[in-house]
Amino acid sequence: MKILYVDHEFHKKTESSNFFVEILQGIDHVELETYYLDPDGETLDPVDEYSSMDFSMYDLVVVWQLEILSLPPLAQGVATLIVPMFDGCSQQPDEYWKMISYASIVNFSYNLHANRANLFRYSKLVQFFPNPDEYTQVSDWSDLRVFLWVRRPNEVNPEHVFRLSRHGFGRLHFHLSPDNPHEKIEIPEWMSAYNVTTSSWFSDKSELKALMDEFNVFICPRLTEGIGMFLVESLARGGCVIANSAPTHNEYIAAGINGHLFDFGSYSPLDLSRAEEIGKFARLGVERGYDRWQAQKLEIADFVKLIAIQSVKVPYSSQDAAAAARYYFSNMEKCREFARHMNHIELEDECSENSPASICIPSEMLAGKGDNELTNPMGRDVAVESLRMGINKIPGWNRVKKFVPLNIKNNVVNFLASKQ
Amino acid sequence: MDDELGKCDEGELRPRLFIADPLCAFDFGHNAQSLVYFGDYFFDRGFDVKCLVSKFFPLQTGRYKEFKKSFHYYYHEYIPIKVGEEENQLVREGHEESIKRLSKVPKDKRPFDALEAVATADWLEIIQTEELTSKDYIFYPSIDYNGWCGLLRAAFILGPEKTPKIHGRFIGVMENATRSTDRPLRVIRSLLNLADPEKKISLSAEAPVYSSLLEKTFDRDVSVSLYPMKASVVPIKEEEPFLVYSAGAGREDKGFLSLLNIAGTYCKNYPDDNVVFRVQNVREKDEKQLTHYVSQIYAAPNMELIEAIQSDEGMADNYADCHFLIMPYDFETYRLRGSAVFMEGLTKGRPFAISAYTGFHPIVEELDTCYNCTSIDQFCDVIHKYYKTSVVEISKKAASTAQEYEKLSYSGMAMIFPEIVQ
Repeated sequence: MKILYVDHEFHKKTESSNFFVEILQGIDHVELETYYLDPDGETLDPVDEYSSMDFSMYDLVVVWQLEILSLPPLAQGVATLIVPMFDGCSQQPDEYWKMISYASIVNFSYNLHANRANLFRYSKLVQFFPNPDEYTQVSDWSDLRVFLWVRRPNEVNPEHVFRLSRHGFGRLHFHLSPDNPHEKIEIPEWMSAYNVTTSSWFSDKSELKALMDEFNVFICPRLTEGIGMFLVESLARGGCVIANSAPTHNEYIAAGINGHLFDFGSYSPLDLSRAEEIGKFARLGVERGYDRWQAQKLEIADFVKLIAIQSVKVPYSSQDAAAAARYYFSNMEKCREFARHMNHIELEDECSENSPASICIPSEMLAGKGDNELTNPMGRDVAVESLRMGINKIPGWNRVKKFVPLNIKNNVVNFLASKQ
Repeated sequence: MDDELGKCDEGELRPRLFIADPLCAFDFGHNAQSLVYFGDYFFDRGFDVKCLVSKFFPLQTGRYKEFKKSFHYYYHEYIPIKVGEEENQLVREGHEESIKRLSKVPKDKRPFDALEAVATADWLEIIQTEELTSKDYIFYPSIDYNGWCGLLRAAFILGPEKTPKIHGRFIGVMENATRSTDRPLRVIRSLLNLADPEKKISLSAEAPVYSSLLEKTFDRDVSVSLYPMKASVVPIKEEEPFLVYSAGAGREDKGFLSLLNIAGTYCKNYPDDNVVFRVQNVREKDEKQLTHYVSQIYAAPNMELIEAIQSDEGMADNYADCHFLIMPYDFETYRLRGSAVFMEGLTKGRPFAISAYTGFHPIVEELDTCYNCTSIDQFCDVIHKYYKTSVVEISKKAASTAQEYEKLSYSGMAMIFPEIVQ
């Protein structure tokens, strides 16, 4: 079986998705090729290059996280497996999910599974756990030593942590290594009265690991996660882990049993008096979860074998698929609009002239020659809305418009919009 | 009759008994399984048993393929069933055909509403096709409003000479499922008096508390009839973790929303115990409204979330795996009701903790390894007590409770058709 694994260039560096590649490599008689691309760069060339590939030589294409990239292989009738991450796609509307539902899906998030699995013919829920033996279990609970990796200060920052653990700690540490390396993080001056320490980016991962070994309370740095490696590793250490009450945090932490959850925007102090007990349950959860994960890895292999032999027929062309992928990385609203049109096309309708791309987008735009907003309904709405806002600024207009019938107002605005 | 099982001698004709359940229309729930329990019981006591179920009953495996699909479905407003258009059309045509027969019935004997009319037509057809006479028996193990009213109406139309002997068993679930009246039990009482002025139709209730209430409502004797189940103790496994099982699909009225609290309280109160709570999920249609709560169960290291619907084999495995059963049922829903899971669990030799003041409260008081619990802490305390008890001792005590239950249930069932059942 020949499998193509598609992933973001970034994961090649972080190696966070390597475990899944290893699972695929471990399947009997599998020939695996990997394809990493950076769709977030200055141009969309990598996306176009990917979309124009010939996928027919593969039995299965596996797309990690960038689920929109399942469309080009699906359009060529190649079985495709997506592995989306909750933090990247949970906000997508129904039409988006419907568009990609011709793929099969492996979910690492229960919430994503519960909300979307019914759209897919083949779906599987799994939960990742690291090997607990690779982490030193917290043993010193003489005081509470709190650790926060400040990755996204607009989501979880030192002040939030201080409020959550108010006066209940012996030491507070901020690892200042934001996702955006240009972002400047400042620790409020008043915190210097407390035992606050900081560190910054380590080139060697083991240094960070050694630093984390000094702590027993860990705050998750983001509001939501796809899996949440920091989260699961902190649980594996048997620490008392605190996180925002959203997936996947709430799928790994049961509040008050093996960790604490807080609601974003509400930071009343948590009761950390049972931190040691909670840490013990955190470790236990990872030990049990790791055993389950070992069994699930074998199930994933069986699942892959099953879906690779399924025939695929989708109601859109390769041209449509390429356009959708472009929109996804350049203009999400347009991508969703496009998905709405895609979903109106019947499966039998394979005529490219009637495809959604030609309905809502002029051909010159598909070729990347230009972008005329007024040729599609969404662009028209934008123009109408900006005119409305302009007219509303005319002094006294708001009083006058009460007396003008709605249909007249709409006709005038539409007329002006079409002239613009 | 055979001394041991009450089976008939060769050549002797067994009296015919029809066990009817129009609500046996699903591949989940206890309706189908209860027909097997009662069918076995009556067969062993000399009856020729036939089970009549809904035309939509989907199962075709094992004992279930012997069930005769006889009834239309009367409860789309409450528990909708999805079926294919072709199947629906066939049923609809049969339905119209059977309704036509009612036009011959005198006006003063015609049914009260459309659904009762369908049920009455169903019963008249069954009585005609099966050639039922007053020598035959009908046992109705879990009364639903329309099906039961239909039977009483058919009995009223045919008169006592042509009506089989009937026993109705109330379980407190669907006997009020109608939108035609706000006092369904009063309608049933009126129909009972019309169809059976001599009070020959016998009645029972699953729960003792409900039986007392129905006696007053109907002004008739209402006995107590539990599932007639023999003790069939499944050995308890020695190994840890100590598994506490909450049997039955996750539903609010079955205490699904209390289970996380019980597991959380347990690990706070007894952090050193190696106890795991096995919990059945809510059905798919309810899951989207409860994702955070279910996520929490999914996350808890001392909880194990399993599929909402378990096959008979799956249930048997769950009973075999567990050390203890809990039912934190909602008092308002269960104050007159019992529970099939309770009866099954007991006979398999498992200790039990159930919310206090359900319909089974008095029975729980009588049985040794069963506990009525009034609070989350009390549930935890009982579980901890058994966690600290050796498996040998738990097995011994629970087996003795299973025997107690067997006696209790068989003595209750002996009141039904006593002229045959000895």
